[in-house]
Order: sequence, then structure tokens, then C-alpha cells
Amino acid sequence: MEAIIQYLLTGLSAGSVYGLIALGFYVMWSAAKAVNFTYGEMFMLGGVLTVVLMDLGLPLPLAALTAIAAAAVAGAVIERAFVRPFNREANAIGWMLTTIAVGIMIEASTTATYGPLGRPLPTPLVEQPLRIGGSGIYPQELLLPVAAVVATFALEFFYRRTLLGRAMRAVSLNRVAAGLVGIDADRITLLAFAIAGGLGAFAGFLIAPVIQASASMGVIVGLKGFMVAIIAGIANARGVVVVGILYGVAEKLIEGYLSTAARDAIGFTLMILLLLLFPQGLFGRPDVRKV
Amino acid sequence: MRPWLSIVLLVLLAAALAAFPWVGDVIGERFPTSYELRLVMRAMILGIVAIGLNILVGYAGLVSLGQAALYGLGAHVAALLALRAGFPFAAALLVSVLIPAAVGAMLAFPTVRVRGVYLAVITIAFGLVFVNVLREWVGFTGGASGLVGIPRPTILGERLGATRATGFNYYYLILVFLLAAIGVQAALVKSRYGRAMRAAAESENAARALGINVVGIRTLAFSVSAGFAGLGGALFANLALFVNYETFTFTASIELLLMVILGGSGTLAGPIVGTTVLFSATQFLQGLGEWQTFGYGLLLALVLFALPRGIVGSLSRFARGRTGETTRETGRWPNWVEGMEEVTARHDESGQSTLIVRGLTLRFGGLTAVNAVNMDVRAGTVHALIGPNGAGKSSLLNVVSGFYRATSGEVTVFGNAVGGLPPYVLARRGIARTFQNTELFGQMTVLENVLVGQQPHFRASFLETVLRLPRFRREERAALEEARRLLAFVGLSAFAEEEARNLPFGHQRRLEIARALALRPKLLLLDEPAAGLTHGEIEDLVALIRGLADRGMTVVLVEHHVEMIMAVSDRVTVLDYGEVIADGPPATIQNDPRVIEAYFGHATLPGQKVPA
Amino acid sequence: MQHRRVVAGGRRLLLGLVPAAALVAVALPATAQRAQPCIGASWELTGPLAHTGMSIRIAVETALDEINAAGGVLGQPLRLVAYDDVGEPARAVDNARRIGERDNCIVMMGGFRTPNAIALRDPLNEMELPWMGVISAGTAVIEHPNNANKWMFRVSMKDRWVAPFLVEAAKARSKSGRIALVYEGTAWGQGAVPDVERAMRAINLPLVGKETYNIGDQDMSAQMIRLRDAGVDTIIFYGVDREATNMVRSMDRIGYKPTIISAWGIGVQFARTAGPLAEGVLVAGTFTWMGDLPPRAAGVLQRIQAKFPQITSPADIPLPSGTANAYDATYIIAEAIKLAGRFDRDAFRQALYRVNYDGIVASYRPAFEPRQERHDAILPQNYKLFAFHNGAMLPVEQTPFRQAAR
Repeated sequence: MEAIIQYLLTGLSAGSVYGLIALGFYVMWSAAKAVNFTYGEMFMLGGVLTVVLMDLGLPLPLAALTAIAAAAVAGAVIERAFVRPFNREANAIGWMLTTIAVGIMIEASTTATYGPLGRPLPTPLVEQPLRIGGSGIYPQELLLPVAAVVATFALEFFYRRTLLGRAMRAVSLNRVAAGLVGIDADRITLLAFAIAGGLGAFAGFLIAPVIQASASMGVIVGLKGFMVAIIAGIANARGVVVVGILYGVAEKLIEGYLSTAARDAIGFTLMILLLLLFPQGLFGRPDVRKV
Repeated sequence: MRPWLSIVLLVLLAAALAAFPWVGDVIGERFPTSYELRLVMRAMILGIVAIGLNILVGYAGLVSLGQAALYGLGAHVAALLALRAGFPFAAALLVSVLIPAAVGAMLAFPTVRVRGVYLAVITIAFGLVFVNVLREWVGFTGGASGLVGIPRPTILGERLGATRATGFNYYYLILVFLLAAIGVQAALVKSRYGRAMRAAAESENAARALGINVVGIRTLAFSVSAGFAGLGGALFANLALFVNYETFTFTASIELLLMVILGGSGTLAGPIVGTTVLFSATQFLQGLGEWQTFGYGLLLALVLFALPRGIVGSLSRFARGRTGETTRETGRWPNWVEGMEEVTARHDESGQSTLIVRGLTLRFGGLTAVNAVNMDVRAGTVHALIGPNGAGKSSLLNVVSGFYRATSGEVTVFGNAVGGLPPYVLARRGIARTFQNTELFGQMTVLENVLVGQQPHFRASFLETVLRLPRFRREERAALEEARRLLAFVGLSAFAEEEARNLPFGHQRRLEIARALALRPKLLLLDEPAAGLTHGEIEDLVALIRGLADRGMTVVLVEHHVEMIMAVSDRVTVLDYGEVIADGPPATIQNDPRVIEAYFGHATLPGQKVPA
Repeated sequence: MQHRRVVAGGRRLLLGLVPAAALVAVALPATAQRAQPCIGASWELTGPLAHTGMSIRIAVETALDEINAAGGVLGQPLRLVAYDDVGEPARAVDNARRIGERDNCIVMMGGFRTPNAIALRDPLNEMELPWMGVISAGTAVIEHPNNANKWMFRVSMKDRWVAPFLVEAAKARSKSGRIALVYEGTAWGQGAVPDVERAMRAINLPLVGKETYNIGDQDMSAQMIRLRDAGVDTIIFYGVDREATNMVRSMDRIGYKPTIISAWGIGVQFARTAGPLAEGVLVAGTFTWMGDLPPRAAGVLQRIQAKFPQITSPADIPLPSGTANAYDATYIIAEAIKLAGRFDRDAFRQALYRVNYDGIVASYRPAFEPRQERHDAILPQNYKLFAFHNGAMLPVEQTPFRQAAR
């Protein structure tokens, strides 16, 4: 009985990371119909930059904010330089490869300068775990689902109640029409990538104290977050976060009751099956196109 | 690119590769050592895999980020067969091609339901599952340590190796396979299979409407590309004599995709160029030590930035840009050139109804688009379908051509019920259609567009096509002649080599009709063919339609232009809100008060007398 | 319109290709090296295990400096030619061929990871190129099927000997006698399983649990719960720092604190990342650079720090055993060349069996013997146990954990 509580708890925290990453993908996809394959590296920079800045003497909150801001700027630069020029045509996949190339560069330069080893990011919230019966979780990990929920609601509020947010929704629904009513779609997309970059870094900063900040921490997480977003239907903020959390829990349950070694094989096979059953994603809207 | 130029370059490449092992004898130095030889062999193997991926990504437009898994599958199958089952080299090679080909075909299944990024995710997941299985199934695959000590390959007792002692025979074997791969790619692309793949990638609907089984052609594309990957894998396993999962990770899939894109996806030379450049770059960059991976990413980003269409793609664009503008003459149409008569007329028993619609209802959720419609279209007549916007005209057309499935009711064409049949089957039975928004294959040439329409008429098999046997050549020649006749018919002969998307709008309409006629249909469905045409063009269109009907073709026409309807139709059916409100000869319909009300909102036209 | 597009395209082309060409030009000169008395190395300079490459490099280069300062070998300086294999077997094989045929070095060091070493067997045999490993402890690296190993040597621990060492230490410290194995899902980890199982059988104890994890896994709660529920109080661990840290965190979450005895994979970084949770974790190894050092080793440490300013303290040497092994290995290689009397690979190989040398890890008398099992220079009597105490990795005698808990 206790085991399942542990799986749920750890799954919740890991899943919230996937959910936050997926949320970032959602923001970028809806604004540009393109995906930033460097996104895992934004997550990584959140942790790594914070550690580096703290080593240079900055206090934790300032270091974190600076790291998040830097990632936001990086996101915007990537959009402007590597996504926009390659997203002109309808079926373009140029952005996929340029962002992959940039992702390689970011990870490689980080490994070359920061080193390949992980470094700790100590915060008071990883010193003592919270025990619930025979299970436990670090308070730091509980920040993640909270962050995911807050981010979702903040995003929805932003989209519904602010002018800028509504402009962003307009762009995601119909880019050309949005342009016709005076919205600068390019500027909006830039903003979307910046927001997403900051979001990813935020997630990285939150989880780094638990798993250590290393140059390679973003690769698999970025990939899984992307897949989660697609499975969820990438059209729906709540949907991607929910699916992210569910996947994190599912992974733990698979590890606990089936096999640790085959966790990814089973998990990804599940994803494939889900996508076959729900071709537009679990919460996606089917694409009705006039013939 | 001029065809002779590419042949020359290919011969040069083959010659250079063939001569490579013997360079040392000429320049007197120890070059190439086994290090360089093996590098080139690995590059050739990757070239084979890249060619397969190019067919999938560049021509069929299906992005796969899991190709390394198929490459790895071939390698492991070959390794296991040699190591555990004592298979001889040739047999193992064959099986290593077939098993990945079968798996590749299975991967095509998702394309039935998912596209684009969604498909990419499935291929990523597939690749990751494969690696996981390899790594953890210690008993079977050797786990993370992999399979070691693969026996050296032999053929008919001859040892295969990459050393002087064996005369570099394995090197030459790989070279032969590479050249064969290049040949098969070219043969496939310049045939109906290649055209069908490209058509399905550009416009699925138009492809279906021309008799192409989109799922089938995609399965073929996946299967062929997987077969290439499997071949590469088997050759690799017999070269390295050691396989483990690390060679076949997601990163490797990315590298393969990059080779294709960098070279120029959708070009014949692209994969070779891309593989050479990327492979050499990796070797060069090792000199940068810690910064080599960074340099790799930087190089990629730079080349993608400077040459977004890949190297070959950008170069040919450059070349084309220089040929300058030539004014082309548009022919008049319809141009009843010799031979057009056979193309257009497939007689049904005249007077019989070609198309019978009974009680057809089509509902989308709560919206009824078509409500209990009855319609009779006689053979060899022009039957117009008119009505205000949203009346259900296009929906009706879509049901007849198989794109929508009716909620209830019956549609009979040529005496057979067509309920539930997919569009490509109906197309093959002789129902052709055009679309409201011209769905041309924009990146294909005008001539190629028409050739696609002839898809169902080819009888030559896959093998005959790839091996360029006489039956294939005959059919291809005949198809070209007929295509040119059709272009002459619509006055577009001068534009044959132009990309369809560069045509002015009116010409695009003409092309679409020519393409539909290539199907040699018995029933032609035209969806607003006059929209956007000038007055003169509409007159020509009327002449064309009348000419076709006079020669026996049945035409159903959805239109808004009232004068055109009156001029060309034998019979008119009027729809409003999904229901038939009038049906009869044009003159009767013109004065029907219900029709006038539907269009203008009141029972009489301005200046018209109210009927008694 | 066409013309403008062409010009814009052309400008982009130049813009992109000029820096690309510069990049290639920078890379080019580095590849022009040939035929010198040299040690060719293939190690991870980049990638997630780049710190192993670094640990070895600092030792080899320092040792070579010393050797060359003392006159080199046979009157010539001994050079190092290093290639990155990013941990990939295919690259390791490429590098072997480069080293063996292009650079024509007398000996090759590394691909250190077990699969890399396994992949090298055939090419090394074919080229008759001697190979010296200093880190990969996998038994299969040196012990080939049918006793076929002729060219591969190693100055490092051997898992077949490490396993009984760990198992003995586990038995001595386990109160309940319930011992389990936790191993990483790599060739090294998977390869250790039969060695540990055999060692347990030899002392008549069952292995109560056997858990694995993937590289990069951040949480091992499932595995830890199973072990805790099985009453395991001592864990034999085959893994590296990052996952070890995540493992002890997983244990901390559920309040589970077994004794952990690890094979050499855990390095000093563990103390940094696991913080107080590292206290009391035991690690097998051949050397530590922390604590009280004998004079020669202290001198070597000084020279390493002088040559590599990023090493400010012993805590900056990620794999202390590997560094020490590499230092000794370099000297053994030099000795063998001197004994051989000429730069000939087979003579060198034969000479290895005659090398007597006192290193910082052990006294090698002789370093190797002409049977496959003894292509490993370091014997079990030289294995040591270290413990993490107050953030440092010290010889267990210098910590409160020296005594068995029984």
C-alpha cells in the first residue's frame, strides 16, 4: 500500500516536470506551428545557469531569476534566427533541424565549459523529506505540481483576460487573419518563444536541487515533454499538463509493478498506441478540413 | 539538371570510389590504410541508408526520426543469423533486408491516421523502444555489450574483407550495392511510384481522386526505405563484426535525417552529397577536441542557414534562376487534336443513367448538409448542380466521388452501388473530379501532373519498373504521348516543364481538367471550374464541356455562373439547404420562382413579370 | 524578382559558408601527425562520461612530462596522440585504426568503456597493436573466450576479483546478512552480475535482491522500496556518481539507510552532489588523492595541479583510482619500451612481462605474466576500500567506518 503512495508522489513530481515542458511546447506550437527542439536545453539552462551564477556569488532568488530571464531571451533569439526563416512554407521541417543543431551547440558548449558532471543546487527544501507513512517526498518536489497548476492558470488567464494574450490566441488560430486585424504575428511568436523559454528554465530551476544540475539533464526530458504534448493534443493547456502528470505516474507504476529496465520501452509503446487510437491527441480537436 | 550531366557525375563518382583502394600504389605512400578504407566503406553504407530515407522523406514527404532503428534492426538480424544460426552471408543479407522492410510496412500503418509532427513522434518512440529492447534483452541481443565475434563473411567460399589479401572484395561489394541503390532510387522516382508518392505528399485528396491508394503508396515508401536501411545494417554488421545499441540511437536517426536534408531532400544526388559532407565534417571536426560537437552543430546550422534547400537543392535552384524568363505561348483550348477522341469518350449505353442518386442524406453532427436528394444523370449529358452557397452541392459531389460517406440513401454509378467505397477505387472505376480550390501538385511539373492522372492505367509491375524492362518503357512512352496530347488539348503544351504552382490561375484550371481527363473517366465531376476565369476563358470552358459531352462523356457540373449553366447544360438540379427544389431543363429552371427566391430572396427578378 | 531572389540567396550562401570554411580550416592542421614513438589514446573527451577522459589525461600527460624530462625513452621523447571517441564503440575502432596504421604508435590506451574495449578485440589482433586499459574493470575486457587475448593489457581493477572483495566487505558489515546488488544498465553493470553472483555463491549467501536502472534515471524509489521491503541492509553497487546520488536521495525519501559498498565507479563528485547523504558510503578502488598521501604521490599531485590549473584540490580529480592507474600505466609502458630496446610492438609486448616497477598504486613485480588472467597488473591484495567522510573520500582506516559493524 505504501509503495503505491510513493509511486504517486514521485510520479507527481516527475510528471509535473513533463507537464511544464509540454506546456512550453504548447505555447510555442500554437504561436508558430513549429517546435523548438532546443527546448530541453532551456530546461537545462534553468538549473545550470542558476548554479553558475550562485557560484559567482549571487543569492539564490536573483540567480534563478537571471537564469530564467536569460533562457527567455535565448528562446526569443532562437525563434528569430532559427525558426522564423525556416517556417515560411507550409510543410517546412527546416526549423526542426536548425533547432536540433542549435540544441547540439548549446549542450556541447555547456559540457565544454561547465563540465560534464552534475553540480548540486542546494536549497532548504531538499534537506529533509516529508514522510507520509513509509513514503517520502522532498518539499522541493512538491513545488513542481504547484508550479504546473499555477502556470496553467496563469497562462489561461493571460490568454483570456489580457489583450496580449488574446492577440496570441488569435495568431494561433489564424495567423493571416490576425495580421489583417493589425496584430504583428511575428512579434507575438517571438514573445511566445520567450515565454516558453522562461517556463522551461523555471522548471529546470525547480527540479535541479533534487536531481543536480548537469549539462545533459535536458535531452531526455525535452524529448519526453514533446511527446507528452503531442499525445495530449498540443491544443490545450490543461490537457498537456494533465497528460504530463499522468505519464510521470504511469512511468513510476511501470517501474514498480512491471519492470525498471523496460520502463521506457513500455512507456513509449503506450504512447504509440495512444496516438493510434487518438490521432489528434487525447484532448485535441479533430482537424476538419473541407474537401 | 541535364540528364547526361548527372550520368557523367555518377560515373566519375563510381570511378573515384573504385580507384580509391589503389591510390597508395600510385603515389607510393601508405594510403589508404585500413582506417581510411573503413571510413569510406562506412560512408558508403550510410549513403545507402540515406538514399532510402530520402525516398521516404524527400519524395513521399513522410518525416521519420527513427530510421536508425531500422538500420540497427538489419544489423542485428544479420549479426544474430551469422552468430547464432550459422547463416551464410548472402542468405543473412536477404533476411536482413526483408525483416526491416516488413517492419517498415507496419510503421506505415499509423500514417493512415496521423500526419506530420504526429507521425514524427511515433517514429521517435519506435526508435527509443528499439534501443531500450536492445539494451535490456541481455540474453538475446547481448544487452549493452552487444554481439561480438561475428564470423567473417564469405561468399561461395571466398572470404570477404577490406584488405589487399582479399583484393578489397568487400569494399567493392559495398560499392556495387551503393550504385544499385542509386539506380533503384532513380528508377523508382522516375516512374509512377515516384510520382504517386510525390502526389500523395502534396495533396492527398487530389491523389486519391486520381486513383492513387495513398496508404498503399506510403506503405511502399516505408517498406522500401526500411529495406535500404536493413541492407545497410547487414553490410555494417559484417564490416564491424560487432554490433550494439549505441550505433543506432536517436542521435543516429537525427544524423541520417540531416544527411538527407543537408544534401537536398527530394533530389536524386542529395543523399550522396549530404552523406559525404556530413561524414567528412565529423572526421574533420575531431581535430577540435572538446569543441567538436559544438563545431558540428555550428556547421549544420550554418549550412542550413545558407542553403535551406540543401546543397543540391540550392544549386539547382541557382541554375534554374539563371535560365531567365522566357515568354511562353498559351495555346487555345479546347484543341481537338488527333487522338483526343479516344481519350474522352467511353460510351455507356446512351440514354441510360450513368449516375443515380436516391434519397441521399448527409449529416455532420447536428447539421444536415444533404437531405433526401434524388438525381438522375443521363449518359453523355451535361448535368448542372446549382444553388446558393452552403446548399450542399460540393457535399453531394464529395459523396459521389467517395470523399464523404452518406448517412443514408444510395448512389449508383455505371449500374453499381458506390456506397462506402474509397475515392481511389471510384477513380479507378472511371469517376474523375476537379476541386473547388485547385488541388494541383504544385511542385511537380505540368506534364508530371497529367502523368499522375494516368496512374491507374499502368500495368507494369514493381519489378518491371525498377529493372526498366520493356513493358515499363512502352507504357511510360505511351503515357508521355498521351499526356502531351492532353496538354495540347488544353493549350498548355508550352508550359509542360513549368512547375504547376507557377502557372497563372486560369492555366491552373486548365491543367486540372487535363489531369482529370488523363484518368479516361466515364463520369467527370467539375467543382466550380469557372470560378476565377475571365469571360473569354469561360467561353472556352463551355466549348470544352460541350465538346466532351457531345463525344459521349457524362459531366456533372457544380457552378454559380448562370449564363454558363444555361449555355452548357442539358439538365439542371437546384439545391437549397440540402434539398432539391427544382430539377429540369435550363430554360424551365431559369423561370422557376422557387429558384429565384432561393437565389435572390424574393419570387421575381427585378424587372420580371410575376407569373400568373 | 527572380534576380533579386538569386542575389539574396547568393549572399546568404556566402554569409554561411565563410565561417564554415574557417571552421574547417581550424580543424584541418590538427589531423596531420605521423610516425613517432607515441602512445595513441582514444578516450571520452566529450559526452556524459567526459570526466573519465579528463581523469586519465591529466595523469598520462603529467607522467609523460616527468619521463621526458628524465630523458624520454631510448633517447626520444614519448608523445601522446589523443582522440575523442565520445564513448562510442565505432569511434573507438576508428581511432584504433588511426593509431595503429596512420600514426603507427607503439601502444594504444583506451577506449575505456567496456563495449568499446570489446569492439577493439578484432582490430587490435589484426593490427597487432598492444592496448593498455586503465579504467574499464569489466572482466570480459581482458578475459576473452578461448584464452585468445594476446594484445590487451590493463592496469586497473578486474570485476571478477572486485566482486569477492566487495562481497567480503558486505558480509563483514551486514547485520542481517541480507545483501542485494544494484547495477546500472550498461555493459559494465550487466557484466558484473555473474561475477557478483558467483562470489556470493562462494561464501554461501544468497543475493536477496537484484535491481537495475537506466543511465540518466532520476529516481529509484521503485527499486528501493522493493529492497527495503525485502529487509536488505547492505547494498553492493555498480554505478557512477550521478545515479548514485539519485539513489541515495530515493533512499532518503523513504527513510531507508542501508550500508552501500560500491565498485570503483563512484568518484569524488558524489560527495558534492549527495552532500550529507554521502556520509558512510564505501567505495572500492586503487587510490585516493585525499587524506594523508605518501611523499611520491604528494609530489605527483603537486605537479598535476601545476600543469592543470583547473585542478585546485584533490576534490577536482573525479576518478582518483583511474588517475593513479593511468600514471602507473604510463610508467610501465615507458619501462617496457626501454626493456624492449626498440620501437617494435611485439618486442614491447614481450617486454611487458619483464617489467618490475614500484608505482603509486602498487609494486608491480612483475607487472604482467604471459597468461590471459594476468594481463591485469593490479592484484586483489592491492585493492583498497575508501569511505566518504565529511565530504572527502578517504582510506577507510582514516574514517569511523573502518571497523565491520558486526
